[in-house]
Amino acid sequence: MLTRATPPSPESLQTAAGGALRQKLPMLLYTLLLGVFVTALIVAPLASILYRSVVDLDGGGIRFTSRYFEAVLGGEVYWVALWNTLLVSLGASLVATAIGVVLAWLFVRTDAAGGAMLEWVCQLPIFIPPFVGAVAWSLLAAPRSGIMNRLLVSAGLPGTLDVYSLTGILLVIGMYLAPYVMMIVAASLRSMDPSLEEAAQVCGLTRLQTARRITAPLLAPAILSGAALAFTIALGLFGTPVVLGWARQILMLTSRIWISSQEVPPAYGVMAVLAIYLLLLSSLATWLQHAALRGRSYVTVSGKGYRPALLGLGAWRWPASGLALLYVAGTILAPIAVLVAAACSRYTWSGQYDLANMLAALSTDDVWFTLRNSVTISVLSATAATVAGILISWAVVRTRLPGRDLLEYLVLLPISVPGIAFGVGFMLVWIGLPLPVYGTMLIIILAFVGRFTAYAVRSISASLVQVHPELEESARICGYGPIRTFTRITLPLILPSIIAAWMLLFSFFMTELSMVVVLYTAQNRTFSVLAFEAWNVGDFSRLASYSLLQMAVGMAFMAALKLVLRRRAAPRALRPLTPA
Amino acid sequence: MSIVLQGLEKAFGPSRVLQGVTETFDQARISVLLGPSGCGKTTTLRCIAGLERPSGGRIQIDGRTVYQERPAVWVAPERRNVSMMFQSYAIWPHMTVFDNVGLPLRAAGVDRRRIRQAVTATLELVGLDAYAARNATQLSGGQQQRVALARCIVSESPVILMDEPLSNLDARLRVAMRSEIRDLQKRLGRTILFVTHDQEEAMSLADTLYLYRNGSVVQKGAPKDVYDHPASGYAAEFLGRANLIGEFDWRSAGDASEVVLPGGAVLRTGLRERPAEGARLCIRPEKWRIVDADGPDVLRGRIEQASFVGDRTEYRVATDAGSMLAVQLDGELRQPGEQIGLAVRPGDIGIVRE
Repeated sequence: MLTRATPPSPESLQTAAGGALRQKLPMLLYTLLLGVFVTALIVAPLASILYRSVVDLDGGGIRFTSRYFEAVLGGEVYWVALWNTLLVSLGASLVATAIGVVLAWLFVRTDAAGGAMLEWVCQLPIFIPPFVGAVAWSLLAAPRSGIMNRLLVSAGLPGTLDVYSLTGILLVIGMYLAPYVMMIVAASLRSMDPSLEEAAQVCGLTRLQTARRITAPLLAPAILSGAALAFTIALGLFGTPVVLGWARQILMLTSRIWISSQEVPPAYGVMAVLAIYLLLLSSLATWLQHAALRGRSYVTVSGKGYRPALLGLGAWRWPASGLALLYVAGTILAPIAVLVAAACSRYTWSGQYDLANMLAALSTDDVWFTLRNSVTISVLSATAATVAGILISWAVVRTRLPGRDLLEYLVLLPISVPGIAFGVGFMLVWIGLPLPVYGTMLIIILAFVGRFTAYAVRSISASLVQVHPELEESARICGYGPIRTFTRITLPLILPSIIAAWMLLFSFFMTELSMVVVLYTAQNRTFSVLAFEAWNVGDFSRLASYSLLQMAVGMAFMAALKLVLRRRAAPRALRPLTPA
Repeated sequence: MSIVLQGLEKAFGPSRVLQGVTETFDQARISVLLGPSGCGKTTTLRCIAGLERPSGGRIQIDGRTVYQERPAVWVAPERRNVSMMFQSYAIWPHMTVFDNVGLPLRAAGVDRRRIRQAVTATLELVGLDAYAARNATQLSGGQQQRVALARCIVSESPVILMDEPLSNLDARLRVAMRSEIRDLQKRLGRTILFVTHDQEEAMSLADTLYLYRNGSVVQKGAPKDVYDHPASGYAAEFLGRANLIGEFDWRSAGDASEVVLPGGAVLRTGLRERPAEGARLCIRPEKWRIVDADGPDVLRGRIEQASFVGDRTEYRVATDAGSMLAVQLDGELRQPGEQIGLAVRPGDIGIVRE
C-alpha cells in the first residue's frame, strides 16, 4: 500500500498510518506486557534490596544511611555467618563434584552392573526437598540420639557420628547436590568425540596418560560448571543448614536473614545487606565460571558414531555398583526408612510403631489448610510461570523485538539469585505499597513466578529453537493466521517441554521453603512452612510425617515426568533447576 | 614395513563384520580399502590400530605380531608405532596447533629442542607454520585437516592409517588434499592404508585397491586393472558405471567369437572361451560409440534421455537388449527420440561373474 510510485494523497497517508498502528498494536501490547512483567517481578525486587540497604524509612522520610552496612560489617556474628557460608558452600561443592564425577564415570564409561537403572535412580535425590533430607539425616546421625550412633554403640563401636557440625552440614548438602554435577558431567562425557581419545592412544599415550592429558582437560568445563552450580545452590540453601546447624548455633547467611525477619519489628535494613552478600557471592561464582569457560566451547567435527569401548571392570563390576547403591542408600533409602519409623513412633524412638500415628498427624485441620494453600499456590504459580515462559521464549527465539537480549538476560538472572534473597526483595517491594498483596497468597505466587519463570524459559526455548521456522512459514502459506499457526503447529511441537516445565515447577513450588519463609503470614502459610514449624517446636513424629508427604510429592512428580519425557534420559529442562 | 593380516575375524555380537581377511598391504605404497558402509573396511583399520580387538586371526606389522588369537598376543595401540588420521580429524580442542602436532613426540619422550625442530619443520611441510600458536579450534576445516596430517607425519611412524579423512571437506578441497597426500607419500615413503567409500578418491590415490564386500576382500589390484577387468557385477558397478547384459548367445567364430543379443544384434568380442553359466557381459558407458550407420557390430536403439554435463554428454538409450548408458565426450548433441546405433570394439566387451 505504501510502495506505489505516485505521491499518496493526504487522506490515504492518514489511513496508511492508522493501518500501520493497528497492525503494530498487538506487538506493542505484547512488548509492554513483557516489560511490565520483568520490571515488577524481577527488576523491582532486586532494586529494592539495594535501595533498602542504604535508605532509612523509619523516621517517616527518606534518608540515606550507612548504619545497616555498619551494623553488619561491625557485627561479629555476621562475619561468622559469612565464613560458615563460604566454608559449607565450598565444601559441599567439592563433595558434590567428587561424588558426581565418580558416578558419571561409572555410568558412562564402565560396564558397572545395572548402570542405566542406577543412573536414573541416582538423579532422584534432586527431588527430595533439602529440608526433608536434613530432617532425615538429623534422625540418622545426630550426636548420641541418632539411629546410626545407637546402632554403632550397640555393635560395640564408638558412636561418634555428628551431623550437627560444619563437616556434617557440608557432607549432607554435598550429597544431595551430587546429581547436578553427575548429569552435567555424564552429558559431556557422552557428547565427547571418542576419536579424540583414540587419536591420543594411537599417538603413543597410555590409558592413564590419555585420561590425564586428554579426557580430564576436555571434561574440565563440565566439571567446573557442575561445581559452580553446586556452590551457587548451596549458598542459597536455607532448610538444610538451619535444621542441622541450629543445635550448636552454626549459622549461615540465610539463617541470619531468617532470624532478622523474626525480630519485632523486622530488621529490614540488615536483611537487605545480608541479601546483598548472597547476591555478591553468587555473582562471583557465576563470573568465575564464565571466566574459566571463556574460549572453551569445544565444537568438533563429528565422525562416525563409534562409541568408545566400555572399560571392563571384571570382578569389580558389582563392587562398583555397590558404591552407587551406597549413594542411593545414603540419600534415599535410609532417609525414607528413618522417616517412616519416626512418623510411626508415638514419641522419640519409643520402639513401638503404629501406622495410625502417622495418619493422625496428617489428618489435622492445619494440614488440610496448609496443603490446600500449597496446592492453590503451586498450581497458579506453575501455570503463570509456564505461560510467561511461552511468551518470553517466543519473543526471544522468534521475534526481532528490540531489547530481546536484555529481556532474556533479566529473566534468567534470578537463577543465580539465592531464593531467600529474592524473597527479601519481594517483601521489601510490597510491604511499602498500598496494594493489598503482602500477607496474601498473591505475594507468594508473584514471587514464585518472578524467580522461577527462568526455568520455564530455558525448557521451552530449548525446544522452540528446534522447531524450524519453515514449519510455521509453510503453515502461513497454507492459509493459517498467526494465532492458528501457533496453536495448531508450534504448540503441539513444543508441548512436551511445556508439560515438563509445568510439572517441574509444580513439584518445586510444593516444597519451596527458603522464599516462603520470609513472605508468609498466618493467612498464607504453606505446607512447607507447617513442616518447618513442626521442626521449630521439636515435634518429632509430626515432622517426620510431613517430611514423608513432601518427599512423596517430589518423587511422584519425578516419576510422572519420566513418563512424559520417556525417551530422554536427562531432559534439558532438568539440568539447571535448583531446589529452594 | 608391510602389514600382514591372516584370517582376521571380528564379530560385534552376532554380526560378523570381518570374515577371515587374509591380505598383505605393501610397504611404502598407498593401499586403499574401498567399499560401501558396513563392509568392514574401517573395522580392518581399527583392528590394525589396536582400537578394536579382533575375534580371531593374526595381525603383523613389519614382521612383529601385534595381535594373535592363540597363543594370545595383544599389543596396546600406543605401542604399535602407527599413526592415524580420523574422519573427525580428532584435533584436541584444548591444545594449540603446536601441541597437537607435537604430542606423539612428547609421548615418545623426545627432548624439547628436537620436538620444536620437528614440529616446525612438519608444519612448514603442510603449510601451517604461521598457525603454530593458534588454538586448534580457531582453524577452518581444511586447516584442521592439515594439522591431523602433520600429526601423522611428525612421529615418523612408518605406517599411516587414514579413516575417510577427506569426507568432511568440500569437493574442491578434497581434490587438492588428494594430490597433496600423494605427493607427501612419494616424498616420505610411508606405508599408507586409506579407507574410503568414494570410488573416484580410491582410484586416484591407490597403488593397490582392495574392494570390500560383506567383511572380506572380493577383488584387489591396481585401479586400472580392477576397473578394466572387474571380476563381478558388484565390482563393475561399485567402481565406475557399467552396462551389464545377462541375456546373450555366444558362438565361436574362428579366431574370435561373437555374441548375439536379444533383437538379433551381433557384436564381435575378444572372448576365446565360452562364458560360464550366469556370466554377464560388461560394457563401460564410455566404450560405446554413437553411430548413424547400421551394420555389423552395432546395437540399434532410441535415445530416451540426453543430459549435457559439461565435459561430456550422457545418453540413456533404449535397445532390444535393455536400457543402455552411453557417454559421449565430443561430437554433436543428439536429441531424445533420435534413432542411433551403439558400436563397441571387440576388446572392450568384458565378462563378469554373477
